Amino acid sequence: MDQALNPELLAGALDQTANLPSPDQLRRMLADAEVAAFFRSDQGASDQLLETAWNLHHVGTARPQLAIYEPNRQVQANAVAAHIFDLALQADDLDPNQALVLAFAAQVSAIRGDRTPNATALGRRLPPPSAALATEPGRASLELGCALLKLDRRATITLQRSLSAQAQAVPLAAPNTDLLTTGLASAAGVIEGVRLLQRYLSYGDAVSLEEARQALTRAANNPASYRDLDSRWVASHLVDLCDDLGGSSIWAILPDDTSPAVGQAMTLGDPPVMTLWPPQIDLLTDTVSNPLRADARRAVLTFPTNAGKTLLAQLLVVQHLAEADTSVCFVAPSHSLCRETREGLDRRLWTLRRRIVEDGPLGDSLRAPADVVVMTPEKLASRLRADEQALLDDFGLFVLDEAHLVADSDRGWSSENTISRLHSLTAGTSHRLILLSAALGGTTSVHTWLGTEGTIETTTHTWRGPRRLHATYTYREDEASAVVYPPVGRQRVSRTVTDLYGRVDLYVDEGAAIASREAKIGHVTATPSSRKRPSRAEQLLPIVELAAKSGPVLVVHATKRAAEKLAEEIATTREETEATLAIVQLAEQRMGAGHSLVGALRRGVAYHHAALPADVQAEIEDAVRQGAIDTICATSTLTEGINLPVRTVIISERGFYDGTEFHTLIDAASLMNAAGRAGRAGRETEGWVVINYEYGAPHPRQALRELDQRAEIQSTLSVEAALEQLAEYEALVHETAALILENVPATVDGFLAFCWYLADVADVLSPDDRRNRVIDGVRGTLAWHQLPSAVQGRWENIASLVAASYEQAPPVRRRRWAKSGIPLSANVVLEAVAAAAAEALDALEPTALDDPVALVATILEDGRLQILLGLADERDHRFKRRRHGRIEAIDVDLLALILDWVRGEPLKDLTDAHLSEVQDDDAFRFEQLSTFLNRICEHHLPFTLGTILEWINAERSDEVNPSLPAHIHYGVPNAEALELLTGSVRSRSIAIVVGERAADEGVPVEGLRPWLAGTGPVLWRSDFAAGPAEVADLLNFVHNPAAAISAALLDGEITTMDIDATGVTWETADLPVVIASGEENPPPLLIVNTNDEVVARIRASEYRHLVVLVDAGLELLATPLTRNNEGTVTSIQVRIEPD
Amino acid sequence: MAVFDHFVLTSKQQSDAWWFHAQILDEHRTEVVQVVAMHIVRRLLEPSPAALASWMARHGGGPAHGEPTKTELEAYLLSDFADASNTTRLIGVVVEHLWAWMATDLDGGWGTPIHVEHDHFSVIDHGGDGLSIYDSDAPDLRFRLWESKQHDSAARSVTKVVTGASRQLRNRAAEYLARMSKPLQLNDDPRIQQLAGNIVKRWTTWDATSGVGVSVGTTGGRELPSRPFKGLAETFSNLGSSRHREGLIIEIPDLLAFARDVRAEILRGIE
Repeated sequence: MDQALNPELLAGALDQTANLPSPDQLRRMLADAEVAAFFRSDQGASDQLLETAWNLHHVGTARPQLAIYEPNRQVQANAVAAHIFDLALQADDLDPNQALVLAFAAQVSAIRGDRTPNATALGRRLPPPSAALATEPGRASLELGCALLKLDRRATITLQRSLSAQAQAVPLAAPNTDLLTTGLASAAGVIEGVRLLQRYLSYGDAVSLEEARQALTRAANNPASYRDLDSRWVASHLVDLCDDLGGSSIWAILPDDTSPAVGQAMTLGDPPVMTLWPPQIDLLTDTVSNPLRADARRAVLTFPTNAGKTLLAQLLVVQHLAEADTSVCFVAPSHSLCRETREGLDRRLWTLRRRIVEDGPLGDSLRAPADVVVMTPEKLASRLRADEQALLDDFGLFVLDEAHLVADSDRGWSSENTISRLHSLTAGTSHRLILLSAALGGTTSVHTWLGTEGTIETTTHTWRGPRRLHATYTYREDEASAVVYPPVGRQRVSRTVTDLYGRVDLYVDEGAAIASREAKIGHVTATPSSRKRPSRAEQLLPIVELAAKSGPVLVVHATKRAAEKLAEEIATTREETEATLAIVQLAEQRMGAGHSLVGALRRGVAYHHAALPADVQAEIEDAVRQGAIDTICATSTLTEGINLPVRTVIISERGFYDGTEFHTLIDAASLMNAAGRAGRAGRETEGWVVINYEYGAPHPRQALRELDQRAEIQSTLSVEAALEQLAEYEALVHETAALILENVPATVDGFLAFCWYLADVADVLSPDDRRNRVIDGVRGTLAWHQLPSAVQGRWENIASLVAASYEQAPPVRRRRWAKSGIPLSANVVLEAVAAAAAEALDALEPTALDDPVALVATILEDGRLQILLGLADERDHRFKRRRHGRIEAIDVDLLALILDWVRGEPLKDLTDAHLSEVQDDDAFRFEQLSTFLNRICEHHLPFTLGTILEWINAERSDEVNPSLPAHIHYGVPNAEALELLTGSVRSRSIAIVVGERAADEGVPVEGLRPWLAGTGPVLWRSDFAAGPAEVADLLNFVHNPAAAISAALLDGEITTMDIDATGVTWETADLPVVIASGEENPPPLLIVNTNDEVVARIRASEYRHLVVLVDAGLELLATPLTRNNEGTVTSIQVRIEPD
Repeated sequence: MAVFDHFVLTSKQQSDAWWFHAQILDEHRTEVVQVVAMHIVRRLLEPSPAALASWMARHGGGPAHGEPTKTELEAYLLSDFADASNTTRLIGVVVEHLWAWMATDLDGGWGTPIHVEHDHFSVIDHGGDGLSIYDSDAPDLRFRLWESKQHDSAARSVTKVVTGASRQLRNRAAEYLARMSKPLQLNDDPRIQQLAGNIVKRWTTWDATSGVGVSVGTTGGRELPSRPFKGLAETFSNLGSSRHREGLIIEIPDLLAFARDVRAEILRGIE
């Protein structure tokens, strides 16, 4: 249940004040207003609601120093007031000036009601500021106040500078007259106060905070401007907010001896973090659980969605880098999340002159040195197995995000045993291990596992920035509307046509719906033998379109096809839009113009599932974030794999009904994960979760109830299925009392592999000692904190078998099997493949060893590919002739397909060449190809091939290309393209084009960055046909963080750099560096003169160094340094003008 | 001269409200036009003393302004006076200024005014609301929330105007008070700070320290109704007694002509 409509909150806020609504009345009024807003009818807030809001706002914002109200009541009153103001602001016909006043009041109450993200969201809705200070001082103050409370440093500083300039230009009666003696005094005080307050929030300068307080206090009651009520009102609120913002600023929370660069990484990084949120403050001010403490070596941090977990993780990393001399290993469960993590941290680490990279794909043993390395749990496991000590030498802090992955049926055990081993290895060292999750902390056994008992749960699981509203979407046939039509023409029976209504019921607690609204969505036509209803897509269409009017919508589907169908249905109702032009071009390029996704994207709608090319998926995600796409129909691949919050999440299907029973495809945990995407903190003030009715499924009301329950995290060894597999394996080994590696159940196989690994790393001589060490190791897992002792004993018996078998194994096999990380039984298969491949490689011409395609062919030919594929799920490498009906597999030469992939052939060519037998369905061809590429080429083959290659290379005098797994993973034939893709370029096609050009021009791999930087975005677009996302990626690629230009400038240094001059004359004065406002995307950085003419363009190599500073609202000034013979400026000096 | 040297002021203590009837002295009309125009100009040009000096010079017969000065003066002064055909707005603005001029000098038996918030300008332009704070020798200060309205229509009675103003006050009082009182929480007087900290609650719960007032500017020559503040009493019947309700009727013959004269006076300093 969301707190916004919690009766206790409402009662606390109202405090039995006479003549105000009762808590229950208020609750119903709010719920009705919410549903009306959803249906976009009777929007806004009634007079009675507004009167209540102003009452509560006044109570909530009364100066704490007056000691009139209890502090807790003030928080509650503010929370409710902000909620009502927010509803009032949703009215379509609201006067813009009234909206400005309501928005400021709402922002103040949101911040003082512990809903800071909503103040940001409210501020984002306002139109750009436009007031002229001299004639509209009140409006100017309100706009500046709203900008400040939006906590957007750049917007605030830009507006404050503009208003300060206007204040300087106000004509005064005499030269010595002070603006503070005129009617503009209060507005001028607000401008100065905001400047000082912003200065404190950015740099932690305590003197500025006190000066801000004084300037604002004078502004609140300056007799010269007492008529300027708006400025005085803003000033007096900001006086109080000096305390609130001051207390929740990053500077107030960080320990006193923390390096300023830590705070600046947060306040000047992107997005700027001027204040922390209540759950973060609770944690970081707790004397026991504060993970920033140097001696906090273990922590399990449970943060609900939208409570600031990501930001907290960033803070932990930044603080560690500033205080310790070891690097950070950051683990995220998917490549998309790894990328998101890297990009997020990269936008902060520049203040510390630190570097972050993503680790290469699984199987790629090359390591890039960096201060932060982001990797998947599998990559961490692989690096741990490869060399434990090297891993511990490299990293001092391990942050494991989404750590509830330990309960995942497929990937959980690997994650659990890796954490367990790390925990054990670092028991006596200074290494820090921090687990982050939305669901992990409530499980007691997790805390005993990692010894974190006694630490606080970081927050209640009910705190959210945006309020979350839960609703069901059901259908009602209006019997009263039934009309019977007699048969006409060839019809034999009459038809009864009944109106069909879609109904939204809003639930706020365990009870009945608190508000409902319905709308006609079609008809049901019935004959004695049939009933025809609108399709599911048709039934969902109205509610999706309604929701999309208020913000982005994610519709979650159980199947890929259902997602495609709804997206196609929605697209039929829309006009084409230019907003998606870039992604349409990309999708056309990748999949052909006839692909159904292209048509949907043209109309601002997308579908998203695992069978789309990875770069297309990523581009769709970006387009949703940027607002180009407002509706996305997706499978749980999206909700599980990436943090893509939207305003409304509609659960279309949770599974399917086969005529006798309902099969659940989206379980409670997945549902909770999907629901967590509703409401974007800082973007929106509320998020809706709507669960659709499905025939045969549990009622959506029941599914909503499950969202409020917290599931216990179970080790994959302690679930029922694992125990069944254990019994099965026990029966298998019962006869021989020896380890058996055939027909091993999957969970047991993983357990065997871990035990083998433990046996290998046990530095002992006697078999008994080894057995004991193996058992000690398994006792360190989460499972042993959950399993009853009898079951523990059964698993330990199996562990003993492994230890005994290890003793019998030859030394080479011991180590190889331990390091491979695959199920123990699969090692036998890999050994055979490796032996055969090694022979084949020996026979290869030396020149072929330089050709990745030839190497892959040699290793995989003669049936070895089929053997390796035998270790994967058969569905991952099976191609079907048609989407529906009986399964009919088609013959595809998989090796040829893989080799074409490694050659860099475009996806469209791959489908044309290899999947032509798939019938009449481009989308289905791509779907199957993408599944194959994702599961086999991007994961299974690199992983297994990496292991084989390592074994082969251990026996050879020379080294077979260790990047081979990466070539297969990325599907590129040359080292240059690989360098781009392992850098920060996502697009395989641009990497291939650029890589080929570089190879043609003889550019060595190590010279790729300067060569590319020397050309720049204009040529990238013309020569490589690079789209906006590709240009952005190439700009990231050419960026050299080691140059640390941004940090140097921030430290007050002056930096010199070459520029591309336009030929426009440069006067001698300093000129600003600005972000261009034209259509070029990403926008270039330009130097403009006083006539707004572009004098020069910043080069690609310096672009990211400077853009982070301009983005942070810092004023960059450029001065000419050198000129050529024609007098054109060729290089400049750049510095920061202090705030 | 004081404001009430230009008006005849009559006090009436009815059960509906305690109210004043201020009638302009005919022979003072021209002078009042000038005073009100000057009053308006001074306030509107508060942000720019230089502009005020320019206006005064031109108004006093000085040379015409250059284009930049004229543009600046128009920006400050013409927001309410540019459109002479919008008579409702024109009269409304003049009446608000009249009420603001008189507000501090009224003694409605509610104590000694120690602070008056009036004549604000705001982006939401919510009219002539004002707040008067009184010391009545009791521990708690008293306050009165005001609303100012114009009346220049034969078809509508003063009583209806008062009733409309009363309803507006009832609906918007919490907002008016919340906004006006917030800066007063930083006032130098601790008693005003305390009042400002809980003034909305006092109003909402009909606390004995709460009061309300309505001011109406009307065209003269018509007989006032016997109970012009009946609507005020009905709307705010929960307020303890008639002393909690105060009224002011400012009567000026041909109010529209008066307002146009004020506008012409203002324009004299611009053109």
